[in-house]
Amino acid sequence: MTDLMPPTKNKWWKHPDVKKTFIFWLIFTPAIGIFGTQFHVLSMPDPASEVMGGVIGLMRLFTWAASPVAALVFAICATAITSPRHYGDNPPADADHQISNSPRANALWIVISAVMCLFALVVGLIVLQKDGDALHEAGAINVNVTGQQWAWNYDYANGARSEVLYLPVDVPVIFHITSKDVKHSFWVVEMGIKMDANPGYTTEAAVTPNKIGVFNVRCAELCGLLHAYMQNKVHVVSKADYEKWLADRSALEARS
Amino acid sequence: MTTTLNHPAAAAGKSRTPIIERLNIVTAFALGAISAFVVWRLALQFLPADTEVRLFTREDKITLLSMIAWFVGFMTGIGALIAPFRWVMGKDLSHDENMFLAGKDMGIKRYFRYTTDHKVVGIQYLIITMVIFGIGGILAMLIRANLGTPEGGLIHPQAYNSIVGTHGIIMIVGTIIMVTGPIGNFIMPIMIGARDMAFPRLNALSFWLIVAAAIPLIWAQFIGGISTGWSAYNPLAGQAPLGMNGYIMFICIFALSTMVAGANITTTVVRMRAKGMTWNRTPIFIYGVVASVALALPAFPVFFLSQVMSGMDRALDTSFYNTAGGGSGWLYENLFWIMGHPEVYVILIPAVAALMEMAPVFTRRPLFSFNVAVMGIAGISGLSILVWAHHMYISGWAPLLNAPFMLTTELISIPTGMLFLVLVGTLWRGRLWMTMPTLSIFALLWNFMIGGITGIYLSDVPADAFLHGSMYVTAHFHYTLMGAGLTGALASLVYWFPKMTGRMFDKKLSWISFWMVQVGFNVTFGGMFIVGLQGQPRRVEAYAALFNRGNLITSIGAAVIMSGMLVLLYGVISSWRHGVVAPMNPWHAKTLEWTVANPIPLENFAVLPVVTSDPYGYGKEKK
Amino acid sequence: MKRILAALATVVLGFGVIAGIGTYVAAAKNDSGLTSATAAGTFTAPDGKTYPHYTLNMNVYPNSTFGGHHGAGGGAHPDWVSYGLAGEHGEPLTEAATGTNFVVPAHSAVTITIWQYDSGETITNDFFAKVRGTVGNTATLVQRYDTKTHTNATEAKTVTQIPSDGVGHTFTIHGLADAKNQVFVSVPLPMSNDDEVTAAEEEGGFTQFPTMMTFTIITGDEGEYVWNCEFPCGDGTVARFGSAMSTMSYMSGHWIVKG
Repeated sequence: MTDLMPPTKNKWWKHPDVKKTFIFWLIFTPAIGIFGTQFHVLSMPDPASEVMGGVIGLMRLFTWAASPVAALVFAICATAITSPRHYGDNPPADADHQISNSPRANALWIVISAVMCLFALVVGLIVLQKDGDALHEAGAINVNVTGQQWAWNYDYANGARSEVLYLPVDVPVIFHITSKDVKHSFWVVEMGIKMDANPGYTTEAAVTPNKIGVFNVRCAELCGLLHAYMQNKVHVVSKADYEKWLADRSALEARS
Repeated sequence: MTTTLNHPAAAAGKSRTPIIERLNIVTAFALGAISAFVVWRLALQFLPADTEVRLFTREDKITLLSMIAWFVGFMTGIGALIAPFRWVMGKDLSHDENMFLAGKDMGIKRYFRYTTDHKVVGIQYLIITMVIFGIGGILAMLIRANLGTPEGGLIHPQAYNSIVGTHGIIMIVGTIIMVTGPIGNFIMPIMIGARDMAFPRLNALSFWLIVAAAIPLIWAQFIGGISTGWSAYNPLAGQAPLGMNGYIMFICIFALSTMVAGANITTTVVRMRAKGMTWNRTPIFIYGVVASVALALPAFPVFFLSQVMSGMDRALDTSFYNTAGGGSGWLYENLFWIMGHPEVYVILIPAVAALMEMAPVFTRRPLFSFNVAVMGIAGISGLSILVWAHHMYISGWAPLLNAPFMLTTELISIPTGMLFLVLVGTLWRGRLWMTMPTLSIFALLWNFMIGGITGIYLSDVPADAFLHGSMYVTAHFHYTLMGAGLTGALASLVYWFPKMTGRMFDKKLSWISFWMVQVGFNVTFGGMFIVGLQGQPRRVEAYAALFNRGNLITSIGAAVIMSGMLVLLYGVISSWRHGVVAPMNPWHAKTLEWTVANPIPLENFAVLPVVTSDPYGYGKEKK
Repeated sequence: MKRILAALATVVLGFGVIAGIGTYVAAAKNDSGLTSATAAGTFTAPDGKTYPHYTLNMNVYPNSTFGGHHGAGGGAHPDWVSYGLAGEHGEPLTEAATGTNFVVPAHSAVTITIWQYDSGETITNDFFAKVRGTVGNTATLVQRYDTKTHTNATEAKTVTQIPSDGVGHTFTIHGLADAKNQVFVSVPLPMSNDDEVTAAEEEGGFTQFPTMMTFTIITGDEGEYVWNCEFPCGDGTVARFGSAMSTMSYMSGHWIVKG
């Protein structure tokens, strides 16, 4: 096969393979970006907190940032697959070139990976910082979460105890989580927070629910026979409803 | 090899001792079973009863002692102790005995003995890998049958937890040995121009240790199973039934096997490459295998130790992992993941390196940037020791360390990207020769890209707060270990099949199996990503109706994978028995193993080769 | 063609093997039987609503030698605490093949009576010492029920909790089905007199005076839940939640709301 190599090495971008790859890349990048983000966003539950909204936003951002890279790899694959292919028991003639290295390509690739890496890190650190600050939010309510094989129970400051979480909307809450036996993991699914419950230690997680509704707590660490059933609901209600529930509940608890 | 002195048989001209001739897999099983039974009865009789404070430790002690007795009996019965015993007596094995051990003129019997010929060990590893994947695959189908039922619940929670744990651990072991075992043993010494490995007897040892390890694991299923998932977290493992002792023994013995194999492979490659094979001319596959075992060498002793402590907590009532007694479950997590993370690269690197070795052959052009490939492998290996606590972001152990571990984890994407560069660079302007290994390169790039990017999401701490412990994680690691790892291993099987068996792997069956496995795989784990994102936790045997559809898709995909793997199994058997006889170098490749004709002589090369260039000299020179 | 057929045969054979193993595994439940609640007219809740009424009777034994679903000798672990079906007056049902998986209808009232033949101690998490999730969040306690004369040896009392240091076991229903509301019921089961329990066990029997708790719950939508005891007593295991606590059909079972 006569090679369609441009006359000088410097016009590498005019090579038909380069052009083909570029076109594939232009098609694949938005395709991957759109498919990837939709796949994630449509599967994930509607966010019930800013933290969860942030997680969904992060998925979008990272997917779009990754799509040109993935698209490039797939574009090169597509170019190779759509070039003349040889079948049969014997190999075709050797390829027309001995390109065994390209310091420029290497350098570019490594630099771009490093930049993307740095980008992901910085974005992650920013959000991490915000989540960390939430643990010291003023005006937060405190709820003690106790995990036990195989049920969660919750203790509120005024003495109310419950197997369901009731939370007021738009008020920060800090969970103090521990376990009475083995390791569990306290996952408030729609609010995007999770923290392990360890026996003998108390760990913390914080979130501000921003939507009224009923959500789920699921245990996310295998904790024995009935791990699958270690779940309960979270009711996020208006502040007034919450106060009423809290008062009723602590009265119930105080009965002897 | 010194001949035995003062041996009456040697004086009579015969230097073969009957004992060596008699030992094989049957005597091994027999001696192992008898030892286990005897120790079991003795322990039952003589171990003191538990005090009220320390209940169940007696049963753990009895179980562990019996399993250790099994192990010692088995290894004695297979003949692992013959050479050490001789040394203790101040002698060594004679030349004839060594030839016997190498399986000279033994026919098929040599596969059932403590045979030192690396080619025999390679085939033994191939068979045991297939058995492991077979059992692991059946367990996977049971899991998917349960989860494919709406809301789950088909299988009893106890049985289900044990099926999940057993599936996990044997697949981990299967994927660790799948390339390094068969190919690393059979092909690697020939590829570097050596007659055998540096320590042939250790080679046999590394294989038979795995067989010895398998029995405690099977035994465990009958005494309560492995109810903790493959990661066997304490304190849950401390609470688990007696089957956990089987897990502990399995890991300890397997760790020994890995360490032995690691020492063997590393020494062989460092010291026994052919004349002229400088590091620049060493095939990239060799780098992959060495990096993999070099990673395993520091990692597995830590795993071993973590299990010893787990066993001690159970049997001796220590408190390494019990907060109430002054210990901590976080200690276990750290020890486990210090092994657990390098371990996934132990699995991945040989498979990717094998495909990098095949890429030039099937594009008929040089490997793109050998140096970057080596840097990538080295970078991944080095960094993988620094990232373990990304498995513990949500454990509450050290929230302040989350950021540094996020950094190291994100950094690993750089050397990983280098491997992508090498592969796509080798595809660039090559002349594609379409075979199943060629397709596997594309499949690897697709699967590994998805696995890698989803790994980046998981490496981000805030995103991990949602994703950790959900089925998203399970889908991610199947994409990397199975989508990339197994794809490389299956391609390696088909590629090196002619050299290992002398026959070509049936082409049609390899293509059919490839497509079924790959399409089934993407359907399976695509569905699993969905339920993970929807909020399904891991290791649950029942779930809310919301997850029905995703689980059904996953289970259907799994059935397709299983069908593809069964077709592959049939392909292996039928090709081995009456496949097309292979020419010496069917792929017209340039590495040394293709210069040896089948059947391969016992000592590989009549004359050791001299290497004058790297094996990637394809492609016409540009005018 | 022959190869393709042979490959297909391998696939079919492989699936046959898997199906066989799967059937065996699925069938190997500890207590595969289901007990349905008994119909008993209608029930009017304190808020005025009426529901169809059902009853269930259960016993909690200090060991498994009562027979029932563990078989005549007590099965594989005769020394493990076990829940089982009870007769109308708390008698052991030695022939019952089922005993820890229950089926109750949806949107009904179920009155459960549990006789507790075991002793007890101080509960680990006193959250579970309170009666939760029942009608009125109360239960009726008889501290000593005479199983020979079928009468209350002490007076029946309405309780909202029992002393934390006198708990034998609990009956806790939980788990998330797909229903909008969570199911959570937890009733502590008081301990019977320690000396009497020990004396009776030495003679291979059970105390004549177990405690008795009666409570009513209103079931919601259909779904599959579980129940288990939340007072660990698996001595010698981590957090005492191993052995019997972690094996279905001793102190845990299925709770199916259907129909």
